[in-house]
Amino acid sequence: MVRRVVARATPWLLLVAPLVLLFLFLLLPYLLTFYYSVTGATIGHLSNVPLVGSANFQAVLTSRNPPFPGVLFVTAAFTVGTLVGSLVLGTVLALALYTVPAGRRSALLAVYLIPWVIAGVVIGYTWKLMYDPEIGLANTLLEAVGVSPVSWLSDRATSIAALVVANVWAGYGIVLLVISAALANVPPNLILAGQVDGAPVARIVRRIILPAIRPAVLLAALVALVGGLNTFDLIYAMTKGGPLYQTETMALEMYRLTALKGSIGQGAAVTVILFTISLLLAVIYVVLWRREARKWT
Amino acid sequence: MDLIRLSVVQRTLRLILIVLALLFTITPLLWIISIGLRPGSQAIFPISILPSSLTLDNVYAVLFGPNAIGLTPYQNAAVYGITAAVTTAIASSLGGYALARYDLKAGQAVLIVILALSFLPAASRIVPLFILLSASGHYGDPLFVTLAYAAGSTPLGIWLMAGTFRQIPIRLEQAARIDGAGAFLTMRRVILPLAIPGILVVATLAFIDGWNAYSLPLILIPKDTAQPYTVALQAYIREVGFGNNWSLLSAGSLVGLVPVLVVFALLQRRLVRVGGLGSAIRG
Amino acid sequence: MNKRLMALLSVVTIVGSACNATAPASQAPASQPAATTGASQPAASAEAVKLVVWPRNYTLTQDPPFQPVTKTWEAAHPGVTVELSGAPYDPQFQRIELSQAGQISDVPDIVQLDNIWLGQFTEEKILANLDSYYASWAGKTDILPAYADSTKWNGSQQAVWFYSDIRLLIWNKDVFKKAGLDPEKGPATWDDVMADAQAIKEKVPGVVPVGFPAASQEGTVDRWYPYLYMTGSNILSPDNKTAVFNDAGGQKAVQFYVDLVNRGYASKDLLTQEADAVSASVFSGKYGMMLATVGSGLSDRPEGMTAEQFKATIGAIVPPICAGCQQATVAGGWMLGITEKSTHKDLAWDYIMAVTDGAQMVPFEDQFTRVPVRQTGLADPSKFATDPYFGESAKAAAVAHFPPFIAKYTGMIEFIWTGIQKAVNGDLSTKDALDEAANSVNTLLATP
Repeated sequence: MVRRVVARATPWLLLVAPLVLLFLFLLLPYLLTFYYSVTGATIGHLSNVPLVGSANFQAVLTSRNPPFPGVLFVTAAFTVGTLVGSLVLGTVLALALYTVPAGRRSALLAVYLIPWVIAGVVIGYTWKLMYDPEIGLANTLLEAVGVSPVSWLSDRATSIAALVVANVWAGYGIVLLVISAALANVPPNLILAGQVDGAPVARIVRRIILPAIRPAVLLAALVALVGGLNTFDLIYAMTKGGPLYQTETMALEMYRLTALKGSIGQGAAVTVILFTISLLLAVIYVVLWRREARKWT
Repeated sequence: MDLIRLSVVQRTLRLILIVLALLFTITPLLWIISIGLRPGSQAIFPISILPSSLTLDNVYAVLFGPNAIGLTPYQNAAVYGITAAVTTAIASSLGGYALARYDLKAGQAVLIVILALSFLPAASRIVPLFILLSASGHYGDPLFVTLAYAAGSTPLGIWLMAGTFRQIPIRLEQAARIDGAGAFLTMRRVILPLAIPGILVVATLAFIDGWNAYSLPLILIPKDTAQPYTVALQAYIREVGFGNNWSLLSAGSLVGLVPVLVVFALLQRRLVRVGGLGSAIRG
Repeated sequence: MNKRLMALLSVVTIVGSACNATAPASQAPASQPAATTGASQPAASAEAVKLVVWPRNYTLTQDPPFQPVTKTWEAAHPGVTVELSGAPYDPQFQRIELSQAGQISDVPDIVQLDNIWLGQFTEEKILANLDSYYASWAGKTDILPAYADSTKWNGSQQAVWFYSDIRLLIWNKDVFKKAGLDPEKGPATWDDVMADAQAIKEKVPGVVPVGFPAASQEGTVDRWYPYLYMTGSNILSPDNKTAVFNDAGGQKAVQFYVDLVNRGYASKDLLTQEADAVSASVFSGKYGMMLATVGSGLSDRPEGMTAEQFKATIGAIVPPICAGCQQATVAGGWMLGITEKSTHKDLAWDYIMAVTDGAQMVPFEDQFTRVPVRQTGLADPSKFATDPYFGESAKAAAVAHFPPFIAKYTGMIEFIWTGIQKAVNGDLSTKDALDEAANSVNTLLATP
């Protein structure tokens, strides 16, 4: 009898430690944030704050500096750009490395992973230097071929793309790693079967290999997506969201409103909006994952 | 993979791709080295790609010169990284095991919510953590900031560990139980050894998160002797370099890069080895 | 009386009275906040006490004001240690605000605040009421009369004046030489600026002729105000209730910036540059001139540069005027306040007295081209010999304006800054950008 109770309780006992950790440092802060999003809290005024209903959300959504659609666009562009860039580069490179002998492949993978372990701030500074109008490598190369220098990070047309390049550089390594691992686990029989049928390499890749690694691609997509949405340090180090908010993602807007301007209520409102979007994406992801998992069981 | 034969054209394409990716990855680092190791007088427009002379003055200035950041920030970052790694590994293993072995409907829902929360940038927890820590009297204590980062890495860690544990056939556990082993022994002798690759992956990911922590320590660790190198470097570049002294900035970045690259070089075998990550994601 | 003393006195009197004139006219003593004022706390016991002081970063790199006085003060107060930590401009504001929330653990006892923050910090109850200290402070008559009342907010003393400063235009003499311009002659009018910039653009490639900060909020507007004031315009109406900076004068001042960018004399990259970075670029020869910087720029000189070398590298002049305009510059300054949450207010006051002593401050004010606020500081004018452009400072001080002392100042300048940015970036016409900013400011001022 006792044993059964213990047995049923075991999973929850096991979960105590992680749940406590997650509750205190992840859930509770966000619950607080959601609370603050409907109050008029500021840095100078954090206790006994008045409830202001949806005023913060209205302020954020109707703000002119920056206009909310603009922030949404920047966030979407940056996230999608990072996702697509990392996935494409990672997958293509993984396929290329697939046929390379294991020893060399590991060495190359290690090199491609280097950017991924570097701190966001340092990556930001590295690429800020690359894009510097005067002594950056980008413009130095342009000048070598006779093109006039570009202000990569301040020019409206290039700033988001420049940031995406930096973020893809930072994150494609892990995508590459995940997909490489998956490729290595593709059952050789499948490929042999394709070859027996005389299929050309391209078709083998398309018809056999890619479908076989779909779960891994999904996981890699998740990592890349999170990497895009999550990014703060890198953008902050490179442009601080400027000039004139043209590189301000929701993460940066949240930080600016909260820590720089002191409007905690409004910053919290941005977090809530961002969370809603994240929740949507998480649900979509899990649905896709379940569907994929069902195919393989 | 020896299964696939590539034509000459395909081989060339593959080579070009690999080389281009190598260039893409290495070039920014080379540029940082080029600017950081040359005298400041050569870091002005128009600039030559290769410096005519090399110097360690900039690096020296960042580490030991006036207002230098010294080595303490790196030690701090190392401590925070290791703490985060250990905490995340333990929490993820426990949680991942529970999720893998027991079908908890509620658990799934909670995990989705928590997963969604981990999508959010760490910076969004600054103010509530500030309030919580102040209220409990722990404001400024780096341990709690580290735990906050561990909490950020744990959801994905649980996901990965759940996958790892699902790979381990339950028959092994049952066999051990039949032989009379208690839960603990089963865990230690049978399961853990098989789960080690996954645990190492999770620990490494968490270590990197903790080592590279920036936005939370920026606000929540005000004491400069306890700050990690990311915050110290940013403050140094802002104050001494006015944000645009590229020589100092590059030297500082180099100093920030070297330790993590060393650690990575030591651990990369484990991380890259196909077995580790492969088993983790198969679940 | 010798010339230097005259100049010094006039600098100080005029700047100070300008400051005082814009201080809140409502001297109606509001009910004294029930703050624990320094009514004798028990005499400092021998237990270890730590006094946490938060000054600006650059004040810690020089000997006065803090280093030597701290040593002697600590010796005179056994058991008390002083912990100093500096910060750049924006982080200083940020951390003072942050310290206010939450528990005591690292709340400072003393903070250095920009005079424009006085109202906001007082309303947010960050600063302690110092009336009781002032009442028993015999030395308060040492503060120049012009400054004496501007540390008050709603009738109560909330801070102690530390030092003041004005703005001048600076240029790089080497760049001028290379452009064929007289390195000793700075531009006196906007047309001169344009002509000099043209010469630099033509003859010195790779150098941006004109720089002004456009990245951070206060840094941007503060360096722009001289050009606003000289057109005869102002930031707010005399009752501080309506924005007037979008009038013809204001538009002219912003258009000056826009024209500089459109003619290629200034670059849009300035939108990412803060004041320190711009002045550093003038020193390094990357930029030809900076439209306005603190003092003559002497305090921004790179480490190791002597005043002699400074004079050979940099020239300084009162901000150049537009046709039909009046000379003007803007003045600012820093104060020291005691936090409401401090548990060592008596000690803090004592320390502040030691630090702000007139004679003690002189070398700092001399080296950093700051304007002294104490009469004892003016006792020996020959001590202010370091700055080769002291004459220009005096001239500028004579026409200095203080921005309005309102609690919502930091909220207001965000809109002005955005307006300037949008105009410079070409997003909006100058008129539209300023009108939008003025509307936002009016809305802000109207809400309680």
